[in-house]
Amino acid sequence: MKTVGSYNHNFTFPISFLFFFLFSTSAFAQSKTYTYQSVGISHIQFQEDLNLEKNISLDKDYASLRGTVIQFQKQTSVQGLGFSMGAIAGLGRAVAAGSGGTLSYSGGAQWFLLGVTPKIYYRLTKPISFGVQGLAFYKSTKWADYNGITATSKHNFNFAVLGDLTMQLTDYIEFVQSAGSINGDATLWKIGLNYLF
Amino acid sequence: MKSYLALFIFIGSTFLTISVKAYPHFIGYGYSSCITCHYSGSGGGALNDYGRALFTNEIAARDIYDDKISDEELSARSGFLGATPLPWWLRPGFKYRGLWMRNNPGSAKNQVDRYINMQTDLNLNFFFDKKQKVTLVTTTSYADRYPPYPDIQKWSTYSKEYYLRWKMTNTYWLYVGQMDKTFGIRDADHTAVHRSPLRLGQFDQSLGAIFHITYPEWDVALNYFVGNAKEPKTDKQQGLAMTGEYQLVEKLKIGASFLSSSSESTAWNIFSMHTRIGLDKGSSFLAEAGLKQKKNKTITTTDKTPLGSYVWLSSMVNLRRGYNVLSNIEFSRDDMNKTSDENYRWSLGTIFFPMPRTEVRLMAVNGKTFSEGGASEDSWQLQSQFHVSY
Repeated sequence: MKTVGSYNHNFTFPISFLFFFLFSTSAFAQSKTYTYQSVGISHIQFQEDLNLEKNISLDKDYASLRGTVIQFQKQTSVQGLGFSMGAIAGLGRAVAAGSGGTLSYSGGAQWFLLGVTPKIYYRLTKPISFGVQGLAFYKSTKWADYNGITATSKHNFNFAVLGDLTMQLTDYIEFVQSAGSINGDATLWKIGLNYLF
Repeated sequence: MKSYLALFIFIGSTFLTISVKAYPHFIGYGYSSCITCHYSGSGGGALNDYGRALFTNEIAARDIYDDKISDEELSARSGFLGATPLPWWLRPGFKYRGLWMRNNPGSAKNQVDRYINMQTDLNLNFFFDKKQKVTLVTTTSYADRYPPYPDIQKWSTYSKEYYLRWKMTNTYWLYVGQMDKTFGIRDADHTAVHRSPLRLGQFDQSLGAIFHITYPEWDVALNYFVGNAKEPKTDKQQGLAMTGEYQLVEKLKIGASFLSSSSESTAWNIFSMHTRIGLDKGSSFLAEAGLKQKKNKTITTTDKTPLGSYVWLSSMVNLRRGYNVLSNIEFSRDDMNKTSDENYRWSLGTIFFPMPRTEVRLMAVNGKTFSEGGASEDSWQLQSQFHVSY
C-alpha cells in the first residue's frame, strides 16, 4: 500500500520533540519522522445530562445526541508510534428523554460543536493502528421551553477519552472507529472516513 | 510451559464452548472465494477438505503443538477422524456453537443471564464420483428448546439443509435442494442487521435452485426459492435472489445483491451493495449497505410501503496467528421517508482460534436508539461464544 505524506528529517513538528524526550535512544532519535494531514467526516453520537427548571422546581433529565462532524488533523509518527492534533466542528440533533421525576420535559433541539482532538497511536501494521484519542469541545444546544420548563445542557464544555482503531482502506482513505466515555458518565461513538494528503 | 498452555486451552475449550468456520473476513489471508473452503459456493455450511486444512495450518493458533510438528502434518490431521482416511465418497462433519450472554450487566434489577445452544449440526456429505462433480450435502440439526418452526419438536433432530451440487464445469455450478439463500455478505453473526432481520438468518434455508457462475475475478449466483420445507405454508417466501462480486484488485472485492420474494402474508424487496477488503495478513474490512422494503399483505392501506435502510461494517484485526480483534457496527431504520427510530449496535471484542477446530469469542455489545419520540438509555450485553468443529 502506498504511503501518503512527506518525510521530515528536521523535527519541525513540535511533537517530534516529545518523542525525542520520551524515547531518547539513538535509534529512535535518528529515525525518520513521517507527517501527513487528513480531512474527514464522521458520524458522532452520545448522551448528555439536562438540568430542568420551572419556577422554583428543579429536576434532571438526559438527552441523546447524534450528528455529523468534520475534522482536520495533522499526524506525525516515528517508528510506529504517532501523534496527531486535530480541529473538529459539527452539528446535529438532540432529543430529550422525558424521564424527569417532577418535571416532564419533551423536545428536540439542534446543536453545534467546536473542539480539538489530540491522539496518540501505535501502528500495528502499515494499514492498521490503535490509538487513544482525546476530544475536548464546546457545544451549544438551544433547547426550547416546554410547558414552562426550561432545559439546559449540564455541560457546555465536554471532555471525552476514546479508544481508536484506524484502518487505511486505500492509498488515500482511512476508516476510523472510536468509542469511549464522555464527561465520565456516558458512551460516545465516532465513526468516519478520512482523506489523507 | 507448552503443556500448561495446552491444558489451559483444552479446559477452556471444553468448558466454555464456540464454532469454527471459514468467514468472509478471511479475504485478509487472500481467500476471497467461498468455494475455496465450503461445499457451497455462496459460503456457509460445512467445510471441504481444503477448508479444514487451511483453517488448521493458517488460521488457528498452533501454540499447543511442538515446533517440530509442521503445519503440513497438522493439516493432515484436520479430517473428521484426524489423520485416519475416510472413504472417498463420504465426508462427515460436526459443528457446535454455544452462546452465553448477560443482558444489562451491572444492573441490579434488569441483569439477565442466558445460555443458548445456537447450533448443533451433523453434516454428512456424499460424493458420487471421485472428482466430486456431483455431491449430496446434508445437515441434520438438533432443535434444542427453541425450535425454529412449529413443525419441529423441542429436543428433536430435523433436516436443516440438503442439496445436490453439480459441478458442470469449473465455471458453472448448479445447486438444487434446501439451502441458504444467496444474498450479500454471509457473516456468521446471524443476528446482524443484514441477516435474520431480513430473513437471511441461520434458520432461513429455502428449497430452490442456485445457478452459480464463477470466474477468478468475478462471480454471479442466481437463486430461485420457494420457502423452507418446515415452515407454515402461509410464511413460505417464494422469489428470486441474485448476488455478484467483482475483484477490483487483489484483496479488494465489490458486490451487489438483490432479493424479491413474497408469501401469503409478507413481501420483501431488498437491494444491497458490499465490499470486502483484505488489509494485511489476516486483517480485513467488510461493509454492506442496503435498502429494504417489507410489506404486510394482510393490511389494506393506501400508504406507500415504507423503505428502510441498513448498514453493516465489520473490522477484523489479526494480532498474531489465531488471535484477532473484531468490531461490528450496525445501523438500521425501518422508514427512511418518515421519522422512525434509528437503531445502532456496536459489538467489540476478540475472536480467537486457540487451536484447530475451536473458536472463542468475547464481545461487549452497546446498543443505541435515536428516536424523535424521546431519548432512551443505551443497552449493554456481554457475550461469550464457544464453537467446536469436527
